[in-house]
Amino acid sequence: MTRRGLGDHLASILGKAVGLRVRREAFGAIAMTERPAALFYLDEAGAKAMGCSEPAPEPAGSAEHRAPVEVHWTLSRRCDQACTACYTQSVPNAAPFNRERLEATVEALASAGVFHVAIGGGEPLADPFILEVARALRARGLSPSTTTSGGPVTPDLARRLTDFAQVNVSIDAPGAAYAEVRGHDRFAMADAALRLLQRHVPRVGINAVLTRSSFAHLDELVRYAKERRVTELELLRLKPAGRGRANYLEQRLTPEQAESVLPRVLALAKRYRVRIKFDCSFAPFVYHHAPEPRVLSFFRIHGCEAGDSLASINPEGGLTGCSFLAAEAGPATVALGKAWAGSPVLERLRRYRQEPPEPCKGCAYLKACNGGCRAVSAHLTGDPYAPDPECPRVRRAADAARDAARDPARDAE
Amino acid sequence: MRPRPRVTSVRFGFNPNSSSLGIDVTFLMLGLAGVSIISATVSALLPRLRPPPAPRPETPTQDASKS
Ligand code: SF4
Ligand code: SF4
Repeated sequence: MTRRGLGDHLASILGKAVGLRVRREAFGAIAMTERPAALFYLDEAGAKAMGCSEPAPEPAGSAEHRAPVEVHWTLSRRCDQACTACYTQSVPNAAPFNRERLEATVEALASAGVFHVAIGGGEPLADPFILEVARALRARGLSPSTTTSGGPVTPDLARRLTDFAQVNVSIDAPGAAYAEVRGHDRFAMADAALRLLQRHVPRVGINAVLTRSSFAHLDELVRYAKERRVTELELLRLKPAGRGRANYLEQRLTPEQAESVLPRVLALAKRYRVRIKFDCSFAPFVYHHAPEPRVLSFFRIHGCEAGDSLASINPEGGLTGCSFLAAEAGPATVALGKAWAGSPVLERLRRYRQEPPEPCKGCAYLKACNGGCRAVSAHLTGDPYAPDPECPRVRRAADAARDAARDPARDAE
Repeated sequence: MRPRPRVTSVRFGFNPNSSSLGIDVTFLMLGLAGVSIISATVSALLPRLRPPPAPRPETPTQDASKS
């Protein structure tokens, strides 16, 4: 073997060891590694250096990505936990996953070059087809992951979850505080499931919905995450979707909590050395602290990426920009292919940053943020394309406009 | 001279949450120094790797009795 041939061979062995996949993009390429779990965005020279010989594709409409990087696949709305804030309004007697859709959907995901599929529900681990879905995704080189309440996790099931790259357990607060948010006390069940999963799944984390009441238990939650040595703790902003709509105004974070959440979380992450993630909808609360834009951009600490790096498949097989958005771009099997670039539904989501209303228009973080959470805007204003009314900057602009309307003379001075 | 390959951004971790995207805010603590170090390291290492061939869809085995 020549020196070059040997080098290429070694590069392939290393690539296989880290679970490398590369996808060509208009800007260059995206490389995903599974060990460590990461996505790397490369420029054109990087794409060439990684062996991409085909020409760069045309940009997909206004999207940065020629296909989603990550897809959330809601298999069904079947779950027996009846959590008070369930965004999919899942119920025990809903139909399970429609198995007939499996092959075509996996094929569409694989052909589009999607890297990662987060399987949701309902309770995904209670679905009779869950292992088959994960195996089918793996067989086409995709990385499946999921989140569970922990209810269905038995020693036998935990052992059979080998196709999953990561499983998170929903625990909004440890101990007695669990019931305050979920409406039922199943902390012991969730904790037992978490420990069981840690024996068989490479990465196990915690998902926690941050509400007005669970905010008070944030320290306990991070301490618990540390004790259990989880891969990460992912904090989710409460969304006004499904059953979460009913108590949204009482349970959403107060403006003070929203504005203080970033420094508080960073201090806890430092103190307990726990990796903490926010979900995309927290972005305006992060930007409120004026972080360095180059750090945000390099680590992709972005806001709404619905219809760009992210898309969702609902139980009926339709593709939406995000699980919280109802407007469909078409059947996933079509919308993940040729229809991705030109879909008016997805283009509307992507183009917000190009024609935003004030105060997003003058905001230094517009490019990264994209106007905050569309689901929150839709619920509070009736318009999903209005600036997120809970963003501190948007709230202050609205307060100022209200004051000016009340006292026009002062405004004219 | 050929331009040097560059990793322009990185997102670490999976996002098992199926309702929204996870963003690792702890990286904010690394600041610009962290960006420089990670960017230089991954830009130098990553282009040395090659992906294994992508798995193909399973082709159904032909039923010999029908041919
Ligand atoms: S003003 Fe708009 S773009 Fe700026 S942080 Fe708030 S929601 Fe995001
Ligand atoms: S609408 Fe946008 S910000 Fe809100 S959860 Fe979906 S992707 Fe995230």
